Amino acid sequence: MSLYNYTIKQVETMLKNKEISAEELANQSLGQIKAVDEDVQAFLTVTEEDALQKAQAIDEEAAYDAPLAGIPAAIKDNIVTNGVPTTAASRMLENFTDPLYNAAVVEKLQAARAVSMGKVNLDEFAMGSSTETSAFKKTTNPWNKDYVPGGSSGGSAASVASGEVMFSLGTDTGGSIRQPASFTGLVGMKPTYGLVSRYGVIAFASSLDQVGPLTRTVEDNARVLEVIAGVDERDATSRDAAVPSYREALQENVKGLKIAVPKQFLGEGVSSDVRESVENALKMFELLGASWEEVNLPHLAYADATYSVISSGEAASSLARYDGVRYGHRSEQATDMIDMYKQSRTEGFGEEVKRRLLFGTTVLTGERNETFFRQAQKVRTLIGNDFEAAFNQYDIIVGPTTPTAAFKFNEKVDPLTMYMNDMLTVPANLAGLPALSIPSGYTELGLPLGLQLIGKHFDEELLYRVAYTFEQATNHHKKRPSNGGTQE
Amino acid sequence: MNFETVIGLEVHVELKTKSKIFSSSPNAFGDHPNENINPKDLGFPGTLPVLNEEAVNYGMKAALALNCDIASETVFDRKHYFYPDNSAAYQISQDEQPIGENGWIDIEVNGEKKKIGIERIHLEEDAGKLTHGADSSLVDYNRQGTPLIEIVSEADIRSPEEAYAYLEKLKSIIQYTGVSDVRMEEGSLRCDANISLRPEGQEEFGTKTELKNLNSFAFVKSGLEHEVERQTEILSDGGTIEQETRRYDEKSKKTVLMRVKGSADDYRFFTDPDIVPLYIDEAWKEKIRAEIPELPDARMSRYIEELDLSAYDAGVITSTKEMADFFEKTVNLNADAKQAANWLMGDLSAHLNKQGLELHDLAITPEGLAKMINLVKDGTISSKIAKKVFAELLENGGDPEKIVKEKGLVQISDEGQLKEVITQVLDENEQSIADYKDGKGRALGFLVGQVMKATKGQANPQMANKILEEEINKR
Amino acid sequence: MGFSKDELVHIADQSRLNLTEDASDKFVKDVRDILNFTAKIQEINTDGVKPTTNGNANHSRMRKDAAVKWDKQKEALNHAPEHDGEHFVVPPIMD
Ligand SMILES: [Mg+2]
Ligand SMILES: [Zn+2]
Repeated sequence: MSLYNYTIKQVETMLKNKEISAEELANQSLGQIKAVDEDVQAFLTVTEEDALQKAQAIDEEAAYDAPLAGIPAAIKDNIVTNGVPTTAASRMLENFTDPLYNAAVVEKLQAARAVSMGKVNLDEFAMGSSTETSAFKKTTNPWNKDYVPGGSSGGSAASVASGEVMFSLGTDTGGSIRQPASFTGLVGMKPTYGLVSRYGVIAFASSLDQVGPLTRTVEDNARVLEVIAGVDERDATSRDAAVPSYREALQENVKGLKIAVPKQFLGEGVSSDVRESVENALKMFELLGASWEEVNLPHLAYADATYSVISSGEAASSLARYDGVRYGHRSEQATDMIDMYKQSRTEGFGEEVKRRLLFGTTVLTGERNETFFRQAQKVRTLIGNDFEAAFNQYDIIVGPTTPTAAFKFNEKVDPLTMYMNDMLTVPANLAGLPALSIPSGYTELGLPLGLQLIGKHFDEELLYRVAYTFEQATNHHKKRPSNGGTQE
Repeated sequence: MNFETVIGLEVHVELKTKSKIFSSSPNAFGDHPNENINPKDLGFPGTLPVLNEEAVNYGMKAALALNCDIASETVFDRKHYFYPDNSAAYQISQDEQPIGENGWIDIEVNGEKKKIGIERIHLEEDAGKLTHGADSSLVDYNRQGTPLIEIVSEADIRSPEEAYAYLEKLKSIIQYTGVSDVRMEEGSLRCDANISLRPEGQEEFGTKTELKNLNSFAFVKSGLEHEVERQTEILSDGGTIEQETRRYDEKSKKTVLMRVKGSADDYRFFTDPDIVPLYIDEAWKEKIRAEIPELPDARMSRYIEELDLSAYDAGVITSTKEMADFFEKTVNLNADAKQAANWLMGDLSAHLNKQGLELHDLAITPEGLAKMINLVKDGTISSKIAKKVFAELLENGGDPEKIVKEKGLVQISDEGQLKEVITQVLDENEQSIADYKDGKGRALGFLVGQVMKATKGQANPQMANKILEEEINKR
Repeated sequence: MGFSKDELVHIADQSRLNLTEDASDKFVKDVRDILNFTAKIQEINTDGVKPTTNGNANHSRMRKDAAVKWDKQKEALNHAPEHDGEHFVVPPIMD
């Protein structure tokens, strides 16, 4: 079998009917990793032995009732795993072989009996949109290896898109789940800020970071989110409320749904193929009984700048702890303490991280703390207010996930051009809203495109319902990439 | 020219919660290095701070006891600086909105009362401990995350004596609230001082220096005294004061330069996104306020007014809550207040000081002390015997009545029994009788002594005196 | 917006980073560009607007005061770049 051809639900039935064992599933996954990862370059660490042990234990206990029993998974390498190296794709943490604790989401996956195959690549400390800033490897896009898989959850996306695993966890600070999902033809969910615990997620920008699943289908996605969502007393920003059954929300029904399309989402910088795929999607929603209108969110034009200031400022703070004192890289050159700090950080961090640390420190220092950082926090409030106003009249916001399809390696060398790629995804992070990317078509070159759905706070159910309706009405999700997959 | 001294004090007090302020590690002293640590305390990637509710309760209690307004909404901020004792490279503190503001305490120096303002009290985390060596430095993170309150006074203090009185009062109030041990020797209370001089009558403050390494209240006073002298000398010579940090050197009793403050440190403050805003409503505040015991000043005036203690005695008795509670319990058991105060301030305090103990280390109870005082009052024992009983109570505790009986210390007040002893003493000391009759007063004292000796000190002194005189006169 | 090389040198020092001459030239331009790009937020009148400092509207989430002893202190120490079996060891501090 190929993992490609099955959903989590189908595998669950097969396990229960003894048509397949968890061990066979694990071997299937490991086999695919061996077959394609040399090209895909998604994995930083493959935990083969541990995966097989866990799979065997599931078979021995016949623990097939667990929500994700035996399902092969990959975890972005900025999510800490007890006993397994966690590097954030940085030289700084290259020797961080054991974080000595598990992230909350990892505990939850283990309790649900998912089987992690290992840790996957990302932009260094999740700072990037192509996974090119990883200190260790260049992950390729399974649809065309000349193209980037997106980022920062590029390894997460590529591992699922190439059929190595059935789902992965990514993190999304400014689009890092949705953009790679869009670039690789997957469903990627950035949940409402506070739905999923950040405990054990290596901070990039703490007020924006969220963990979420990347999957091939909406149903798979809803299943995984059900497992990882929920309050955690170790994360004070996690929401104290019961998690609904997202699977129950999966109904084909958008009748009467009021859709808003911010005019910036189809404006300048958005390529024609992207615009066309969104327009087609909107037509389809109309046919299914929904209505849509263009709206103006006046402060959306400032989202990219606001995001840049806030995320970099917070990053300068989050990454200050990497000093070579307690763990991580320590330079051997240094003879005194301050020099040790500087040398270790200079050797440990890559260029993009340094750029953001320098910019972040700049906007926190002196007067700019007020005129840039605090001003950005105020504009963030206004952006949130814009969304709130829109949601008073509309149920959901729809637009493209990215302005263009995947780009080639080394195509975006100018940092600002690279940052522009996030302009459609960062608003949801700034407003803390749930947002999902779903396959919505292909470019002439056969590269996937994504449709972005943004909902009200904690209204993941509606996003899943709308996405499911769209998915069932289209065939985009059935196409398989060239690399490793069998074409349907 | 005459100068006026202007002093402001910054006091850090460690709160004695069970766990740290933002992590669940034990908040304990004296353990092995790096024993009370976890991934959060080590600043491991992915760890998050979660605020300890009790630290907020304690901070609020101290702030209320120091007459502060409590913020209804407050946040925690990150204060950034790179140093090995600071594992996240930022200290979580309250920059923008402290939990308490606009407080004050009353002090008294040389009989003059004065109000010292408290600008702010904020909650924050302590750093780890760094031990410097020539070739390397050693880091212990046990203290990383210990809850602190920082109490910043207004620049209302005008002399080293006032600074000393402020610290004593501050310590006493906080100690009453029970939120800290406030022991400077153990570092649970630490003090930095800002000091400047200005020509008398001038409103504008002069340039201040900051004094550090003030490891006792006496050093604070002595450090400030030296600094007053040093600054006076410079200013009188027409010089200028540099804004700098100075360290108090215990040996030379002088302050020495640590570093010159250039442009102010930039801590790149911003609100910690990991910690959600803290809202304090009236109900919470009132609940904490209700837990604050009667504070030293209130107790002191009550003791003066209701129990007729002198201001001095009331001050000494109320300087620690433990002593005041002991005193009050004793009085409530119908012991005479003045007597109780005397015993506590006299023999008991001497014993504590000599042994380096605290009241709770002793076996004596308020019940024991009250009973003993009443045994003296009803004449069962003499005050001389009482000293013996008290010593026994200090060492082993117990019931004074039993002690008196078991050790045969009951006072002899039986007239017949006393007369018998006295007759014998007089028979044996005829020379003294003669002396007495010749007007040598001392002879009577000698005879009383002999009676006491013969009764092992148990003779009722008033009766013994009376009978002795009667019997001599008969001869 | 002005952003000088001197400023960059100060910021790099505050960020505990060493920059080569070439890197400084590049980064001073990058930071200046990003400052210019983001300066547009200053066009907006934000008088009376409360800053958003957290990702959501949670408030007063605290933990009970219960102490839990970790059992991996030794492992943590053993993973450190340098330790003496009890302490983390760092190079000497020269002010
Ligand atoms: Mg201070
Ligand atoms: Zn402080």
